[in-house]
Amino acid sequence: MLVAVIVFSTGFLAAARLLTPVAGTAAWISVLLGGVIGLVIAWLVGSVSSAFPEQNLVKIAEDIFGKPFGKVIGLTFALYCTVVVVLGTREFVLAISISFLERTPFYVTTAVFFILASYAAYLGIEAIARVCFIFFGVVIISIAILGVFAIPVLVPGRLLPLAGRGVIPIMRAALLTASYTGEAIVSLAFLRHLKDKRHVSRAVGTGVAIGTAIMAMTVAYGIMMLGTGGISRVTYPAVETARMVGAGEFLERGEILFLALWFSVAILKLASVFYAAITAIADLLNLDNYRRLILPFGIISMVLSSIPANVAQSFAAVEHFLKYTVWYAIALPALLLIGARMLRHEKGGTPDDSR
Amino acid sequence: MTADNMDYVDVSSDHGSHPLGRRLTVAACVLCVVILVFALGGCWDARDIDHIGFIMGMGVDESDDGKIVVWVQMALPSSGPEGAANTPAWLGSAAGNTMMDAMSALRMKSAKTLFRGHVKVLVIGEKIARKGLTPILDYLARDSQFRYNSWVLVTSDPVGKIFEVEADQENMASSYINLMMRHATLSSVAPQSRFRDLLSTAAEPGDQPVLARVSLVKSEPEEEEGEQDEAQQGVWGQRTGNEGGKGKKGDVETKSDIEISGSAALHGDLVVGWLDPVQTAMVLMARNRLKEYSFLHMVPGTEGDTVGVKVLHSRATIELPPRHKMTRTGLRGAEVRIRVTGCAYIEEVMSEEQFVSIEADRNLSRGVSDQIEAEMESLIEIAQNRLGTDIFGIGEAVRRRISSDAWEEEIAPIWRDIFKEIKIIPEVSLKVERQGTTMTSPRPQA
Repeated sequence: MLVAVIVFSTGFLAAARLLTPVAGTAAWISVLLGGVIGLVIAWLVGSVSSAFPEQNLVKIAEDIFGKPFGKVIGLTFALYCTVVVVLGTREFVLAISISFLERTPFYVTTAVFFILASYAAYLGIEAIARVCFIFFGVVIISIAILGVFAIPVLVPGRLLPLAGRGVIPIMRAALLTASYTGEAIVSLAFLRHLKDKRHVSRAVGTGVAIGTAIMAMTVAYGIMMLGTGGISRVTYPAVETARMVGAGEFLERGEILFLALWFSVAILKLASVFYAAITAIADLLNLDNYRRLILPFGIISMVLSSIPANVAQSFAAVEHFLKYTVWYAIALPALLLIGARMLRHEKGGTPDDSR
Repeated sequence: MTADNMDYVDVSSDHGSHPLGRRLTVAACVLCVVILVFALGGCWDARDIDHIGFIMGMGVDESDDGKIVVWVQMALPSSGPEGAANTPAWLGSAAGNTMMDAMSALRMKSAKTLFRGHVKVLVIGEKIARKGLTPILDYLARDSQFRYNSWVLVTSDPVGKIFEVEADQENMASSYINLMMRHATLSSVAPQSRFRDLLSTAAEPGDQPVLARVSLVKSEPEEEEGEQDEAQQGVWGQRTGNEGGKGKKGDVETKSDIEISGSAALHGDLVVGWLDPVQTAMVLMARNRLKEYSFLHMVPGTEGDTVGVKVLHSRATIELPPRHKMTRTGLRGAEVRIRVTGCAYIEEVMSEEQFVSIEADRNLSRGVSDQIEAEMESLIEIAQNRLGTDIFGIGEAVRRRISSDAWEEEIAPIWRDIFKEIKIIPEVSLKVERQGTTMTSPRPQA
């Protein structure tokens, strides 16, 4: 569930807007293909985690490549998590502020986000995961209710032609989506806390599949309701599609209720990525207690998330992130896995045995 | 992670163990509670409901000097018993160079905050509608308060006069139009033109929207009802700033009423012409949006005999040329068929012929189909030659069949010209399936 939340909870807000201009009506197919890449990443993550069941990412990298290079890998991972936290927070804060809290300053909403994320990170990954159990079901039900009420407004023909702008644009959009699904690598920071480590790949893969399915449905609904022209025009398609839904005259402006629920899972995502970032930094600095980093990291992240001053700058940053980070998401676990295999080959037995 | 794997090792064993940390935790909790006491009470940014003006209807048109005029009809909830205070609404208007300018001017005339989250209807005047809806759409689409489910209607009458109407069934014109639209769309005399429909189709050249038309009509003159009512009317006049849509002619009042029938056809953001209720029903039938449609069918070979028929279920399919012919040159002059199938119910028979025989039933089905076909042919002629806009959604059907690039780069930019040259052939096949609860008309004998 936590992996599913990491994959979809901030990306689904604007994914349709970023993918539809590239793939056209086939944007939802791109999401599914991006999910396939995400499953490959999930397998890589699971394999690395199975090879080093009691280690976190920095220690794994140090064991495989030695301390200096392992620290560099750990640093890149911490930076990656920081970027995910910063951009994810900014995107959600903008979505809330533009759609509902018009008069509330950005920094107030951002501060609330980071206070909650910091508190969750302070309590640890177990607390985050358990809260996720509660909210995930509620959010899924809220999306399902929206999906049912949206049926009268849907125009399925808008998904045609199925091939959209063609195979190459679909693949390009799939790579962009894979950046969202690739965020599953964040779980490398906390998979060691799992008690049952026999089916890690399957567990991470299930999370990626659920997250991908939610994103694909959101994108398809957006196209069916707004058309490709409309999707490219609106700021946050998920919010706009929720605005369009109304059941008779008794349920209107339901998007406020739904966004409040989505807000909760977004915080869970940011809390888990926040936790991943500070634990990675704590390992880099050889700190015993990661909690010492919560306050400084929270303040730095809050300041960084305020750098994109408006939606245009935020989208530009997200587009850059999507364009390049997919390769990092594939390369990191692949590099670790190859390294682990080579280490085992060199020393014989499992990497754990070799230590 | 699946539920099976959600067992985590406790990693928070040292949580709060340090005395200083514990004190800091307590201090943080106390601080949070103090902040919440003020924040949850609304002390920071409270907005009293008495200071919020709930706009129920908005109107937009262009003035003679080229400015945008905005009307808002605001509900004024009464604190007294229902019906005791007949002060249902405040109608305000203001002009400006743009929508935002006009709304800013309007804010200066209202003691209450203009809240647009409850707008039920948006009435657009013909003058601005013929010049383009973009300024209106841009402002309202950016507005997070404005409801996407609001009805959008176009009128050729003065917009302000529409909102001044006080119908017997409903005092506030906005609520009245809202209720009427629900019935008009069910009987297909007006299209389901909500703001969301306008937004999602206006940008598609092959899927042009039609908007419902609202008009002022003169209702039956009524006698003056006495001094009490006159005094009451005075109060309304002060509140609404108008005479409630009534004009006095001696002792007899002529009262305006609202009618919703027909529609305005759009090309892009421009209203290019009007469609009557029958034409509107034909558009809805061709686009599979017909809920029901009742009409009188003249029985052939009789002198004025009629059958009242209701079409309840119809299905239209657009048959396009083969895919390889769907190019900018191949589509010009190509044959496109709109096939409509469905069933019709007899609601009334004003004829000696009771249509109980198989032959008569077949003839009636053919006759009804021919009538619809003729009406559709007439509409096609209007759409292609007079309006020049694809109200049937043929372009959308083409877009779905060809690649997105071919549509966007080759065909969409010149679709309006191609549409005018297409040979559109309607083929209607309706079957009369039900006769009602009696097979023959009751015939009382003297």
